[in-house]
Amino acid sequence: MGELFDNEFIQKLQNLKIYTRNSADTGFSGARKSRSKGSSVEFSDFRQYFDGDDFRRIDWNAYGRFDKLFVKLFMEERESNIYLFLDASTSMDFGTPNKNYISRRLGAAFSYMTLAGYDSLNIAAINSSNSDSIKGLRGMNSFVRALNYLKTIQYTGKCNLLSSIKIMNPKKKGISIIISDLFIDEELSEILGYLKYLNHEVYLCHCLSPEEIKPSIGGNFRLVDSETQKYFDVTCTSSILKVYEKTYQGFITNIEDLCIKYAVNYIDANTSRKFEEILKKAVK
Amino acid sequence: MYLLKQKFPENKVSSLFLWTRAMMDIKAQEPWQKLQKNTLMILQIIILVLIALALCRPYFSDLFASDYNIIIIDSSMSMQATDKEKTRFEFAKAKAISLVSSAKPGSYTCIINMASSATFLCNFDSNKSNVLSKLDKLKVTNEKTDYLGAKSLVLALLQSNKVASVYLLSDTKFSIPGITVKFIDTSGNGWNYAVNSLTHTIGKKNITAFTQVSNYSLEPVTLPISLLVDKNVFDAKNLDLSPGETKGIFWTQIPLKSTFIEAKIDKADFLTSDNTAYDTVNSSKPIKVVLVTKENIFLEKSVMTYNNLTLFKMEASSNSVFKGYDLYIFDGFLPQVLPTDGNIMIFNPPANNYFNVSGEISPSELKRSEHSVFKYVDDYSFAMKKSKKLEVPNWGEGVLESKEGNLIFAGEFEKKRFMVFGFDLHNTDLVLKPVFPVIINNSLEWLLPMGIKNVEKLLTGDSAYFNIYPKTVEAKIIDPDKKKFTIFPPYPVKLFDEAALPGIYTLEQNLGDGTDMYYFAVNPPVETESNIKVKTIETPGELQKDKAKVLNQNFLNIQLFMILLILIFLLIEWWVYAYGN
Repeated sequence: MGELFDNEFIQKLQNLKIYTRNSADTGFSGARKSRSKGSSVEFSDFRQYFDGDDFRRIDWNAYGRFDKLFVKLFMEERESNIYLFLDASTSMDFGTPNKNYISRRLGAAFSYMTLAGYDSLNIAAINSSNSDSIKGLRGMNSFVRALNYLKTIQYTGKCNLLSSIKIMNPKKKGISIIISDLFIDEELSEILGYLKYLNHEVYLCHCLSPEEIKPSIGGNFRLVDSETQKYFDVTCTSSILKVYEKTYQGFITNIEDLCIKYAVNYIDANTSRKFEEILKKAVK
Repeated sequence: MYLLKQKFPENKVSSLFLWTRAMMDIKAQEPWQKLQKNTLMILQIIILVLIALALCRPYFSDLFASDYNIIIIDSSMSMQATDKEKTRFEFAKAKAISLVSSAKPGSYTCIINMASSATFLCNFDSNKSNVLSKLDKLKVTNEKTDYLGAKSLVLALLQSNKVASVYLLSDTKFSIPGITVKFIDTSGNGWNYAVNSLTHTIGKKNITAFTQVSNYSLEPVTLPISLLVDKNVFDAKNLDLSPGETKGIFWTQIPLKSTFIEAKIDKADFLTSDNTAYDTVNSSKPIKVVLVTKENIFLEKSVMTYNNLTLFKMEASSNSVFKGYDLYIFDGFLPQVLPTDGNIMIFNPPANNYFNVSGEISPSELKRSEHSVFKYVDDYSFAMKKSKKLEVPNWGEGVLESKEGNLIFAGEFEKKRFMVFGFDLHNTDLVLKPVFPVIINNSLEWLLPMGIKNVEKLLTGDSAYFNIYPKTVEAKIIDPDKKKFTIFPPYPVKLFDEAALPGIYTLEQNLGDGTDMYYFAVNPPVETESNIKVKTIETPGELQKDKAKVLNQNFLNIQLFMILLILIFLLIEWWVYAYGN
């Protein structure tokens, strides 16, 4: 566990909360504000008194001021369902620093924040050979279990995001966090569209290594795909690299446009960036 | 080469995802690229090809054999050309037989024989053996092509909206407006030379003949031409002609007594019927005319101007014997019994048993006459003091009329031609007018038998009426093959329409006391038939009419089917675009 977090970093995490635009109104009472008006101590609003209302809720100060009867309304606290989808394909086990390291640290950070906020945590490592996942973790007592799961992820095969998300069968309303390099055959728009259909707040952490963003190879090479073992020969000239850079920019722009379209939070998890910077976007 | 082949060191990357896209961009920018398999592109190419085909309005012809077939077979002179297996006509006939034989059972066939007139050989006959038998008997002619007649017949046949296939077997291509005609070309690559014409002039001491010869081939040629007089070779000359050229030759010193002249090309070609031209020199027998009058210098002078005429004068007397003349002119007198051996011209007639003469009239306004007697007469301004009122008999016709009545009539009665002038020439100023000798000359033309007058050249297939002597008992025409055709009796003289062969024909008249022979020439229609290259006859403006409306549609139009295919492929393309990949 020490390789994922140190104590200093966990202390910083304690002050972080995942901000959500959605209000959870199902499940157990978690430490999150729900728009439903419930029986907690936190005051929310006034409304006019009607026959049958609990007279103990009548605000007498308001009566004295307006000469009319008003009742107090309080915020109801509900738990959120947090789904963490980690891309565990072979392409994620690449780069310096390695993408899987950043991916798991991010996974651990999100797990901590979820459990610390008394929300329900569900984690799935997605690749073609792994169908395991853990569901319904609650409370900090479950944090160790989450860490162990993350630690034992095997990065192999290809990533089938959409089908794996559907297998998870997420509940309606919640938060989905996808950590991937998005080198997938599926249409990202379909994945995001499905999650939005479930009314999820989506965070898309895009992990890429510097070698993928700006390759610095030159000369004749046979480029081999680590997942499919397919290859092609290329003579890497400056013009070829410029075209690659342009292609990469187009790739990123396309993803960003989709995120805007589907109101998804895009997080640039470039492995050359500092971990704290990456998490800032997810912080309230 | 294997050793020299460059080796690429391996470089493992996380994914070729971005590299593949980058290489696709590079390839897309290359000026020359390998054609990629693309379903949409293939579909669009198919659609474009279908559109192009549909615009061509394709159809299957003869997919369903028609129930009605019209076969026009050309039997004109040019079809005698031997530049096919046998002759063009035999070739056409064989084709026609083949068409009839292969027609579907129960179908109707109409054969139109196209010569100098288009006639039906059979009219929509479903009995194949009957049609074939008629075809077998059909012979080629020496006549010209009546394509207009054939057109009219076909149009008339299709008026009842029969869907018929029309076949034209000919060496002359022509179109029929609104009709799809399948032209079967019967021409070959043969060449032809022709004697276009042969004429003569009679001089004082001899006859001069003139021949025109044409070269209807594509090569220059030297043609040996010979002239035969009365069946004997009189002279021979060589004539050099360029392709398409026509030249003339004069033949002089031909004896005056000659009767038959022939000009002949002595070089072989593919059409021999036009290699000889014919001409005749008829001896002109003097015409005997008697003028029975007291005194009429105007009439006497004007009659004497007529060619080849000997005028006799006689005083009017009831005792006179009228016999032995070709024409009797009675001026103010009529014998009790008219002569029977000549025609009659009468001025100022008295009452008689042959026609009614009732009173006198003073003619004022003369009506314009269409009779040949008044040919070339435009001036009707001559004055007339008085005239006998003539009643035109049922055997006559009015020649000149006025408001008051008939002034001149003509007709044939008892084998005699009559021309009756109701007025005395002394009672008119007609004799002082320039038209007077013209009227007299025209009258003599009509009254005197001169053989063929109005036909300048008789071509094979043409027909003609002949004038015969009043005393003729029997008249026959003998063709070059010695075949005889009787044209008289019975009265009236029959139209002669048997000029099938080129050559010298004879009009033989049995006069009772002797025989009169008149010779005339029948020549082939060189002008229309001798150029034996395949011809296309276009009538300006005709082809534009009703082009869109074809009466005899016998084809399956597949344009709509093409359009349907285009729509289907468009739907497939849309589906592939929307749901493919």
